[in-house]
Amino acid sequence: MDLQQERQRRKRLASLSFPEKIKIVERLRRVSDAAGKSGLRKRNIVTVAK
Amino acid sequence: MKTTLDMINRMQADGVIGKYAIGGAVGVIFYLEAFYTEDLDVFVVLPTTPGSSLLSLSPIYEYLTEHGCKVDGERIVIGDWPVQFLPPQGALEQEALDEAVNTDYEGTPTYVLSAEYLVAIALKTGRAKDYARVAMFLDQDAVNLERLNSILLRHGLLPKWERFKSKFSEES
Repeated sequence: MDLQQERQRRKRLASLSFPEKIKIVERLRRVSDAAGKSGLRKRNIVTVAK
Repeated sequence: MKTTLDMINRMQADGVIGKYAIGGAVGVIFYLEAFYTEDLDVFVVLPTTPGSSLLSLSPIYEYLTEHGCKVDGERIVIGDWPVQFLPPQGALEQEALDEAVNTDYEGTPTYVLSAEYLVAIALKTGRAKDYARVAMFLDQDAVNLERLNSILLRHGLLPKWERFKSKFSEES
């Protein structure tokens, strides 16, 4: 993905409604918490969840 | 999040806090794309006790624990969200609160700091993650530069801004 496509992707994600974006964050946090409990590194799991 | 904001609004209606506004990462997410964050930062005006100029977060903690919330270090968990309450540290944060944007979250009214104040506060705070957030706002043209310049000028942040811009243009 080139820089221009990446910017477009980010703009599209930014245009979601606030509740939609918060639901994404909450999902990332659940995945991260599960990773913490299983001893996996948070950074790796969050990257996968995205 | 809705439960969290409902409780904060209830606390405001009960006079425990004055005006408040969401800042930090969740404030940034209001304007940009979602990313991982652990907690919710809430800038808040605390009512002063008559005869005292001391500000204390204790009334917030007492109120919330009475309503079933649990303290987690310097944060307090409301609903599913650990929340950190931040009284204004200076004129910039006070002004940011005064100029906060009205919005709503699934029917619950709330307030978010404006994009320009989020950037100004991030510049002032100056950690690596704050600079990364400023870069995100610039990259996505999500900030009014004229308004931002006026805020930075008023609060003596233009030198920091110039340093940041020269670094940012080198890296992008």
